[in-house]
Parts: sequence; structure tokens; C-alpha cells
Amino acid sequence: MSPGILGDLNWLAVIVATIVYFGLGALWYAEFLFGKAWQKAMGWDGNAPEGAGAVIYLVPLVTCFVATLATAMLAAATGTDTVGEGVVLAIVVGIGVSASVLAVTGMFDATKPAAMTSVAISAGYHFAGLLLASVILALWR
Amino acid sequence: MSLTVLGHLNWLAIIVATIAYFALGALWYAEFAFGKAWQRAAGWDLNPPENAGAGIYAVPLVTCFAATLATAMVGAASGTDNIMEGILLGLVVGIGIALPVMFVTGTYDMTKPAPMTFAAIGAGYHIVGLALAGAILGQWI
Repeated sequence: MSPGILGDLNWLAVIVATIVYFGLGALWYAEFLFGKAWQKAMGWDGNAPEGAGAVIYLVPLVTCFVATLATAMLAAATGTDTVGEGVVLAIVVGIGVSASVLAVTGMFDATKPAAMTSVAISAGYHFAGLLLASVILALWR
Repeated sequence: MSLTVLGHLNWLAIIVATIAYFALGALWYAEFAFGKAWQRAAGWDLNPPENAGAGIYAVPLVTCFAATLATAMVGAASGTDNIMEGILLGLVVGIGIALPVMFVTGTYDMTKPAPMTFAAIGAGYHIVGLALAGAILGQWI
């Protein structure tokens, strides 16, 4: 792992993978999927945030980009270039790191109606999103 | 990267790095460091969790182990074999994965007194802890 890896990235693939990961969020948190359960677990029902505005789309777009970029750096540094290898990288990053930090954060969350339900939905989203991103990045070098 | 890296890991280094990452938590969340600010941001001063028990130590120990193992797998697959590369790997994983998933989760948190402070203290801990784990894993392969 060295900073020079940034010169070896396929930036178009990074952008496309970011959009796929972000776009999955619109489905994942839609009412017909996990949206209702997630809002209840978060304590949103009855008092949805006011005036959230563009930030509610902008922040996830930026965070999806950062996580996709990190995954692309790790894919390049580890020579990940097949679907199978992409899946392994996604398990390592999406479960090993992302799900771990979300789970331990939820463990200490005393204010949400169902903190671990919200963690499970979010950790599932990031794993699925990073899985799509990782496979795209592995195949499109 | 493929699962065969599991056969090339220095498990003693993983255990030591896990303990270092976990122990940093005891310092980071101590009252003299970020503990007070974190408890206020988390809303713990109003309603601290009841009978948390051994889970309060066991869960972070397990999640620190999972994140350290993930970092070690990427380290082995990318040929990370000195302290500087190890720190860089820890930062890519910490800033690239742990920070964005915690930050975006905090953006939608409507139940805490200061969700972004809560997310920032947690993300800071994981970034420093993963950099520390990465340094140990990079140097001691």
C-alpha cells in the first residue's frame, strides 16, 4: 500500500461505482423496502427532520464516493481483478470494517427506539453497496 | 484479493494489534479524554443504559478483532510490509471506510443531543485505532 496507487485508478469506474452505491440507497431506504422499518428504528416517525434539504442527498453522495475511492485503492493494491476477488474484498471492507464499526456504535446508542435494527439495515446497505462497487471496480480496471 | 491470504497471516500480530486498538478505546472514551463530551453527545447523561454488563467490553473486543483481521488481510494481499505502509493502510481503511459510514449514519440521527459530535468522536477513535493496528501489522509481518 503506497500513495502512488492513486495514479493507477480507473476514475471513470470509481465514479460509476459511486453512483451505483448511492443509487442503491434510494431503493434500500424506500418505503417498499427497509425505509419504514428504518424510520421506526431511528425514531423518525412523527418527527421527520425539517428543512433537511439538499444535504440529505449530498452527504451520502460524498460518503459513497469516499468509501468507493478507498475500495478502489485497496482493489488496486491487492490486484483484485475478478468477480470472486471483488466479493472477497467487499466482505473484508463491508463486513470486516463497516459492519464492525456500525455494530459497536449501535451497541452504545441509548437514544434510538431500536438501535440494533437501524444498524442491521445500514450495515446491510453498506455491504450490498460496497459489494456492487467492488465488483464493478474489479472488472473495470 | 482471495481468501488464501488467511494462510499467510501473523496471528500473534493480529492479536496484539487487536488489543492495542481495543485498549485505545479505554483511553479515548475515558473522562479525561473524550468520554465526557461523548456521553453528553450520546445523551447518556440523561438516560444511561441499564445493566449493560459484559457486552460493553465483549462487543468492542469482537469488533476490534474483526476490523483488525480485515486490515491484516488487505495488508497481506497488498504486500504491506513496513510501518509507514501499515499506517497508510490503516488510514485508508479508517478514513475511507469507517469515517464515511459513521458520518452518513450520524447525518440521519434525530434522537441524540449532538449526533455529529457523537459520530466525530467515534470515527476519530476508529481512524487512530486502525492506524495503530496498521502500524503494528505492517511492521510485524
